[in-house]
Parts: sequence; structure tokens; C-alpha cells
Amino acid sequence: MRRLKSVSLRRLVPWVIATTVLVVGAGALVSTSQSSVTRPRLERDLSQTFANRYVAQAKLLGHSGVTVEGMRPRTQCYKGVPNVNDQGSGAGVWLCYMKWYDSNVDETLMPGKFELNVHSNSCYTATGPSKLVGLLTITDKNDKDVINPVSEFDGCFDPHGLDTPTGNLDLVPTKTSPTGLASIAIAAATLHPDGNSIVRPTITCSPGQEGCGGTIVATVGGTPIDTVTYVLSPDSKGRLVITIPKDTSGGEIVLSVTPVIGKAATPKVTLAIK
Amino acid sequence: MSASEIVPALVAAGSRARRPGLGSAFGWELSKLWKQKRAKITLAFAAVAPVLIVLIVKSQQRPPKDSLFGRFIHESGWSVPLLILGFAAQWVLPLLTALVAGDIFAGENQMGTWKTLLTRSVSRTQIFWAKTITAVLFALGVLLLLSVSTILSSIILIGHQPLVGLTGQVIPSYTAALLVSASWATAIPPLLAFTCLAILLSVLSGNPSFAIAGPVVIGMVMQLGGSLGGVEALRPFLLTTPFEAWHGLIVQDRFYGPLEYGLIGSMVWCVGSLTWAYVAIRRRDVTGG
Repeated sequence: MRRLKSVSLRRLVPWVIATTVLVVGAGALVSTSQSSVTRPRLERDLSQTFANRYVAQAKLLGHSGVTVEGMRPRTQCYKGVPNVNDQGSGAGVWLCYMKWYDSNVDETLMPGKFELNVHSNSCYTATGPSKLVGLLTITDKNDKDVINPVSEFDGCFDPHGLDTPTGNLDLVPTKTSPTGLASIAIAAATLHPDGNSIVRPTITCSPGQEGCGGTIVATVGGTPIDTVTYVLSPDSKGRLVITIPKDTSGGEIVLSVTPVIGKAATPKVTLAIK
Repeated sequence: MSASEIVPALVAAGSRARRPGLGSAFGWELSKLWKQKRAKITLAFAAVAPVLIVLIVKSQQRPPKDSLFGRFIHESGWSVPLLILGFAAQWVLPLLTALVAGDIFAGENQMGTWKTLLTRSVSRTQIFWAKTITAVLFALGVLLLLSVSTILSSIILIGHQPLVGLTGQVIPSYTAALLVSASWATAIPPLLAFTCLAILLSVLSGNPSFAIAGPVVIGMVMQLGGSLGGVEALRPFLLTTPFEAWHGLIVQDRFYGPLEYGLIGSMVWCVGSLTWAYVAIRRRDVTGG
């Protein structure tokens, strides 16, 4: 008992040295090493685990002829954003795209997108593409609601397993997100006023960041007659609603655009009115 | 044969007959352990708690999907022992072994009985090994009780349906029985490593509370460290990693690498801890206590 009370600095020295050595050693180790969670391991294991669970689902649904061999699943995974911020390996959230063969599903919906939460112990939880595999519960062949085996499933892979690339590079969709500003364009067509002297010119917003928004001032014969605001999402169409004086038919209307979001293809457009 | 050669031989023979050995020291340690209420409560807990836990698990409306096998608790009785194994390894197993191993040396400090003990005619080495063997046997006994109780109550209360493995494959009930039992058995190396660690803390601190809480806290810190991303390189050196080596048994193409590394890692921890503890016991000055 007394020994504990008389802990001296001399007894602490080995502890301090040991702790320092451990921390420095651990730091050196961490900085030079690679994670066992790698793309090839994940791609191989997800294909296999999904195929096994998919066959179980086919059994529940009464689909015949679905086998692991016949499905020939191929998977491409990445961590982070491909080509921009691909983190290569390690635990975290991964996205995987998989193609497989099954005559019971619409193959134009392939590849299916899987979201994986991968842990450092080489186990993961995957969420399947609901468009292709259905929701959390499905109705089986006996009209009973059952848990969908492929909507969410767990898997573990060998942390020392085969790590040569699978060669699957064609599965991640290469849709590039637009980087420029969206621009608004007014269709150059003759306008036909309706019974209430309202004209409806068509406007188009091109694909681009954040879409289009702003104000348009309509002028007839040099005098402003109306101010309208517009808001359009990227890659969409809309119509303006402008009330014009009753005696304008046969004349011209000038529309000047002041964009706030995005830009304008032509800031001033002249349209004929019939 | 000269007289000078005979005399030491006689002395040696005589002393062997007179002096009690490791066996009797071990017998005393066992009977001391058996008289402790704590040891009996721990064993009773290991036998009874799984039944209650399985009942609670069974009554869950929403399966604990964030743990492995949690999503299958209502589908197969074989998934529940694996769910509980994953949970027990986090701190329950280190605690159960530390309850005895952490106290076995430090308890003598607390009671002030080192002087009495060391005046018995057994060597310090024999006392050290008697206590260590007692702690190891207790750890193994607790694990055996806990696993048998968990598996039996799961099978009786939920059933022995086929098990969905970690590659999504369906494992028939008979194979699942073997694999689940084997999975629990893979907890032995890291459990004994925690026993050795508790013995070391018990010897060094002389404080039972510290030596019981110490391994649990160390285990939880290692668990946390091992689960962080970016420091995966540390995992082979952590005592908690071998507790997950059973994953390799439940997949379609079984892998044993983590089991082998876990065995080596656990042995290194155990031999290191015991060596340090042994040296400390040999050098200890007990005249004051």
C-alpha cells in the first residue's frame, strides 16, 4: 500500500519514455502505410455479396433462372468524387456502380448505384439502387410483405485479399456537371396577343450553374409598358406574361433583359406583334 | 562418490519432499478465489445475463441494423450469438477477466497480506504462476459459460434457422453451429491478452480498482482508435483487433490472416505484460507492506 503513495519521478521516467516511443512509432507507421480498404477488394466483394443476396431476393419473388454465375456482376467503386477528389482507398463513404444480367429487370436502368459505408475493420453496409432492386420491404410470391434482402446488406472482406485491379472502368456515368453560368434566351417568334392584350414570349434557360433569374422591361414605341421578373431552373423553358396596349398590333415590342442570376444571351430582343 | 556430492543431493531430495510446490500454491489461490463473492457473481452473470439479453434482443421491433447481424435477429437464432459476440468484445470481455485478474495481485496489497503470503514456504515465482494460472483459468471459464449460455438461449428462444453470412451467402444450420462456436473460441487469444494486461496493472499499481478499470478503459480507447479512418496501420497492434478476426470464418471464402495476426499480437501483449509483471514481483520490496 505504501508503495503506491511513494510514486517517485524515477518510476515515472520509463513510462514517459515508453509512451513517447509508442506515439512516435505509431505516427511513423501511420504516415507510411496504406489502408486495407481498397478499390479492387471492395469491387470484388460487393459483386459477390450482392449476387448472393440478389439470388435470395429472386427466390422470394419467385423469379426463376437467377443464379450468381448467370448474373456476371461487374462493379466499379470510388471514394470521393471521381476525377476531382478521388481519395483512392480507406474507410468512409464509397459509391459503387454495378451492372448485372437478369431478364426480370429493365436493363436500361443499369448500372445500379450503391452507397457503401465502409469501416476500417473491412466490413461495410451497402444500400442498393431502389429503382432496380426495390424498397426496404417487398411483396413476395405469396403476397406477404418481407424485408428486401438487397435493399440494405452487410459484407466483410479479407483485409489481405487479392488487390489487383478489376479493370472495371466503364461503369461510372460520365455526366459532367456544367461549370459555366446558365444563360436566358428569348425565342424570336412573332407574338399574337390574346383577347386581353396579353402576349406570352417563350424563354429558355440553358444548362448551367444555379439557373436564370432577373427582370425584363418591355418597351413599345420608346415607352416602357411592363416589367416582369423571371426565374428558371437550368435546362428548362418558361413563358413571360406581358400586357400590351390595345393599339400595338402590327408594331414591335422591345424586351431588355437585366439578369441577376446567370446571364442573358442577347440583352435586347425586338419581336414583331401581329 | 564423495560425501560432498551426496549431501546436496540429499538436501535437494529432502527439500522437495518437504516444500509445497506450485500445485499447492495454485490450490490455495483457487480456494481464495472461490471464497470471493465477486468471482461467484461474475460466473453467475456469465451464465444468466445472456438469457436476459437474448430475451431483450428478441423483443426488439426494430432490429439493431448498425451492428453486424443485427438485421437478422428475427430470422435466425445463429445471428444473435454473433451480434452479442461483437458487442461483448467492446468492453464486457475485458471487464469480466479484469474482475479477477486485476484483483489477484493487488488484493494482497489491499489486505496487507503480502508479508504473510511470502513467509509461506513457496517461492515468489511459484506464487506468481499460481496466481496467473488461476486468473487465466477463470477467464476461460467465464468465456465458456458466456458463450454456451448465449448460444443455447439463442437457439432455444429464437430457433436454428439457416444463417446469412458476411458474403450474403446462406449457411445451413449445422455449419452455422460449428462456425458460431468457433467464432466464440477465437475470442480466447485477445481475452487472455487482456488477462495478462490486468495482471500487469494489478502488480504495478497494487490497487484493485485501478487494475480492474484499467483494461476496460484501455480496451475502449483501442476500440475507438481502431475504428478511426486513416490509422488502419495501427490495427494489427491493438488488442481489440483480434476480437473481430471471426469475420473471416463467416464469409464465403474463409480467410484466416486476421486470426493468425491476432494470435501473434495477443501472444506478444501477453508475454510482454507477464514478463514485466514477473520482474516487478521478483524485485518487489515487501518489508513495508
